Amino acid sequence: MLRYVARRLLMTLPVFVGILLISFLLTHLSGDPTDLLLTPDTPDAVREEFRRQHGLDQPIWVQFYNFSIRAVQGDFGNSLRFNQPAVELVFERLGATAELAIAAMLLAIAVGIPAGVVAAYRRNTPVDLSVRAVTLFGLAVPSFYLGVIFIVVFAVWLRWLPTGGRGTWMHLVLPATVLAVDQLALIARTTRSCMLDVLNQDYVRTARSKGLGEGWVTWGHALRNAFIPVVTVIGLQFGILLGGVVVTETVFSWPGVGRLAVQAIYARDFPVVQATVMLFAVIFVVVNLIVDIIYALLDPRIGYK
Amino acid sequence: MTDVTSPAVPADPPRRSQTQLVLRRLLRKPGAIFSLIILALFVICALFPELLSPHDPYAQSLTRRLRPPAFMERGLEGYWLGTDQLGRDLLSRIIHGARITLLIAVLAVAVSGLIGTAAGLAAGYFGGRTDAVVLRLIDMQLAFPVILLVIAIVAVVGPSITNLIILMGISAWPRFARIVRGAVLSVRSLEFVDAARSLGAHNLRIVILHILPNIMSAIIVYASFELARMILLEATLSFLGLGIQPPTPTWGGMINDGRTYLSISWSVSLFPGIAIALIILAFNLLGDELRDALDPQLNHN
Amino acid sequence: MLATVLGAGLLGSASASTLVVAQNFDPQTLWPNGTTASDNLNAGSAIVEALFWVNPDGEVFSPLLATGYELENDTTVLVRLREGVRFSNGEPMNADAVIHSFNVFVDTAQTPAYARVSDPFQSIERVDDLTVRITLKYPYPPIELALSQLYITPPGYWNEVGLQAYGLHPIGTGPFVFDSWSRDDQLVMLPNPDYWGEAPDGVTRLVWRPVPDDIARSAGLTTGEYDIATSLPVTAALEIDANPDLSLVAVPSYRIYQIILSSLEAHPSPLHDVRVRQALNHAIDKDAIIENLLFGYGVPLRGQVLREPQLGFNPDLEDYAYDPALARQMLAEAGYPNGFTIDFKFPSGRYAQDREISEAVAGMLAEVGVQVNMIVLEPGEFLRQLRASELWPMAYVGLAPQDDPDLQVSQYHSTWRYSYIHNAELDRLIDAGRQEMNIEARAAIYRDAMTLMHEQAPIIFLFGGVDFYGVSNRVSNYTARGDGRFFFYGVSVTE
Repeated sequence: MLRYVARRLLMTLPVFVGILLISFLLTHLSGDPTDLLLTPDTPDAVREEFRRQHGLDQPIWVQFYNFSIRAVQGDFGNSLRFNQPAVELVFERLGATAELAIAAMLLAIAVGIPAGVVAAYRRNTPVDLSVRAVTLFGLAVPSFYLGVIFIVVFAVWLRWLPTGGRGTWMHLVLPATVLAVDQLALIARTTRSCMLDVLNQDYVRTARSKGLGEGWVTWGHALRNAFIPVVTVIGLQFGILLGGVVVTETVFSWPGVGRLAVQAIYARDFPVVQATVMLFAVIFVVVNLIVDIIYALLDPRIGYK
Repeated sequence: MTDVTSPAVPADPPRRSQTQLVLRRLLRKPGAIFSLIILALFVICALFPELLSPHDPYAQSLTRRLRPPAFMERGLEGYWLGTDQLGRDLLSRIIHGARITLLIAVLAVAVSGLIGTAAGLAAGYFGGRTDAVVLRLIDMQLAFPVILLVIAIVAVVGPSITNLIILMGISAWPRFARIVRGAVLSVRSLEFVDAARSLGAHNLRIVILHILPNIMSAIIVYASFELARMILLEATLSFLGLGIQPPTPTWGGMINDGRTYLSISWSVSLFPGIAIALIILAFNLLGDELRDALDPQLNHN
Repeated sequence: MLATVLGAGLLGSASASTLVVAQNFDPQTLWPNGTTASDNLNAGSAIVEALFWVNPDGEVFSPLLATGYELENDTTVLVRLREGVRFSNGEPMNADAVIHSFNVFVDTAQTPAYARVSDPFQSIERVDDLTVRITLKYPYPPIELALSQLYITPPGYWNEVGLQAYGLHPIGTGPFVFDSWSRDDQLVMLPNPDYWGEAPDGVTRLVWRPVPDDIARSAGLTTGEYDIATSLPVTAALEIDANPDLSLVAVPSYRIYQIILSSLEAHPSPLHDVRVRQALNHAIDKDAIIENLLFGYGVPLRGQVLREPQLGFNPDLEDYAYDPALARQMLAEAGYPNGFTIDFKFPSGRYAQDREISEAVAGMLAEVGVQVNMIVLEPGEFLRQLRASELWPMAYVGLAPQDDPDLQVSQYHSTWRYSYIHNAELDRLIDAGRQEMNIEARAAIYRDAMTLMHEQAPIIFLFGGVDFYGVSNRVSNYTARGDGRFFFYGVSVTE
């Protein structure tokens, strides 16, 4: 098992090198941040000094070399806007994003898996169709629009929940729901199709014919086997979830990494963009590593190869 | 990283009869019929917007802006869904918006489908080192937050239709590649492939003539989901100020423009919102139903 | 039922005496001289004060940490400081503190954002504990504007923690002191118990919340989560105006919206012909834009870039009347009887309603035969192109220079980085106005400059914007300035 984990970790190395390179190139191709950080009427000499201070005057390959050396040590330099280490800014906001992402994921799982099971069990009945239509509905409305509708309905009209910000569990409800409906449909769909696959396999039919109760058959045999691909999908969805926080955090003024990243892109705050991209990549890889390990544990046939 | 289960792939080469079978199964399902009707409706809009729309979608009139649908108080006769923030006919813009919205989605999926299928085929068929390289590339891009990638590039190159199609397409190829690779792995060792290989057929020939047709159904099912996702991505880019240039109407852009007016006019954002919700629902349901219909195992009993 | 239970305590402001301000962005630094963004300055200047300030109420230049100033000659200024003021850590606010702050202010390595403002300052010397003498490099008419941006920091604390840490935890002389700051979430300030002046009445806690989404910001004001919400869209303004629990503060902005019509040699286009530029001015129905798109909240430019109360505003100039027939005729005379096709650049998300207004302008130009290719730019790219002088031949911009005619018209000087006009006579007038210390003579120069710009039409004159603030009825005496700045002097809050 340890060897398997070590091998998987080793395999991620080229991934990180690639991401480092892409994030550097992307940010540097997107223009000189000086224009955005200083007022347009700033004298040229001052602008040159500013660029020198931040190393923006050097040839791009020198900048990449310096960038890589520092990045490997977890240092992405100071934010151009905040004059603080970029990594520090990202970590400050990580807790808020984690809270939101985990809440959304739990919500999506708690609703999506039972919905998928029910849909599979009542396949081709109106129940199946309506469960799917309802889970798909969330996916069908762009989250920036759904978010605003939620704010208007639940915060302004009904006054049940706050319009935004972070604090009590009540602040979490709306953004987590908006983020969750994105995931919900896919989790429900995967659960449903995997359940269908499993329910049709011979051993389940055998179990049914042996007179084991329907509930027992469903939950005992089928779910355990259907769960493997569902877990995988959840892991892969994490990347999309992290993308989703960009919009959700902006609409609900949630103090997280996604909102920081968008504002950093708009302001060409390179160090912060790079630190965010790396952090998201690390989270994604770690989550999927865990998923693979769970996968291997759930299904011993797969082995550690 | 491991594979998602791909839709079961039929191993039997006679395909014409199977297509008929699948269609027949599909047309028995209310979900599929609903989806096909919606899609047909929007495709007709996209093909013949000039014939269908009652007004010029670009004709502004600042004095008749933000009107509710025709049947309501303050509504204008002939403007069935009302007017937008510049006094343009909402219905005409939704009809014209169907063209550009679908065009972007279809072409972006075509781009990602082509790249993804090629990469997935190569990885699955050749295996070994090719597979390892493709897998690493997939991992790399999946780990890279796509939305940030697209934002960063669109911000610089500008949101022209071509740029958006290419970028959205590139952002989505890894998912296609995974599906295709999985599907290829499941047919690679099947008898007819072995047979072709033993007869000395060229690799490219085997892939195109024997493998591709057998994984086509998996690709089509996945493309259906992906179309929905691309429409949403375009909408999200509009929200971030990076959507298609005005005055060209897209549904995502219309929702975002109308969102600002939510407090004084509910109709400006609601109708394009309904259009987008319907089409996304349709693509997703169709994908589900197609997958069910294609799965021979599920149709035994 | 749920609504009443929750609504009672948790959702409203934490307590009656807490004042919650929702702005667009979280401050990058609370040191006011760190950036020029109004969101930063509004929060920072509640703690750190300047020598003078321009009171939004009537825009009067008023003393703050200084009690007055005197021009000894054209290039020396004697500033007298307020007696008995201390920073909240006990350090005295005196000539030494001002000298320290001045030296930081003029060091452009530390204050790059203020490089242009601090440029006229040469040196400072101590006269006595409460008097300093500032020497200028050259006579500088808008000296008051410059003095109102020199913020005073305590030298002991500053030298101990440095610039960056100071911005995260500032100590000043202002009506509030720093309490805590959870980035992107909330910034909390407490009243300064030893404040030298009159502290805002009834506030026991001041909370700043960054809320980037316009709709969420106005929604939070409606539900009572925020007491003051800034930079609201016009749709929210209408809603707030109709809400009896809230009041709308609509402030004419310093931002001047215009369409660049480049006539630079490097930018070939039909716009080189002055008749074409004038024709385009006649083609735009700015009143319709203001009336409909802005719901009346806009101040039409009367054929000039200076605003009505500004020094140098020329009351004799007549606006270009909306007259599409005349526009078409003038285009025909210039050799374009069938109009022409031209690129038109505009930002999406940089200014209020920028896309909509650009689309409306494009529609009006089409009416006179000018077809535009609309090129939308992401705000960052837009700023880059502005500075790189790439916004040609036509572009929608809203320029918001500081409140002085020189800073306004300098943008059309041929040496200005993003000037899109090259006119020797205009250059001469701008140079003359910059050095003229006599107010009347200065005003006359700018009036001439306005006449010249009106004839030359280097831009389509659109309108001056309006900034919207929503304020809870608990708050009295809240006003804001045309540059997005507001202060708490004189503000009071009731339960």
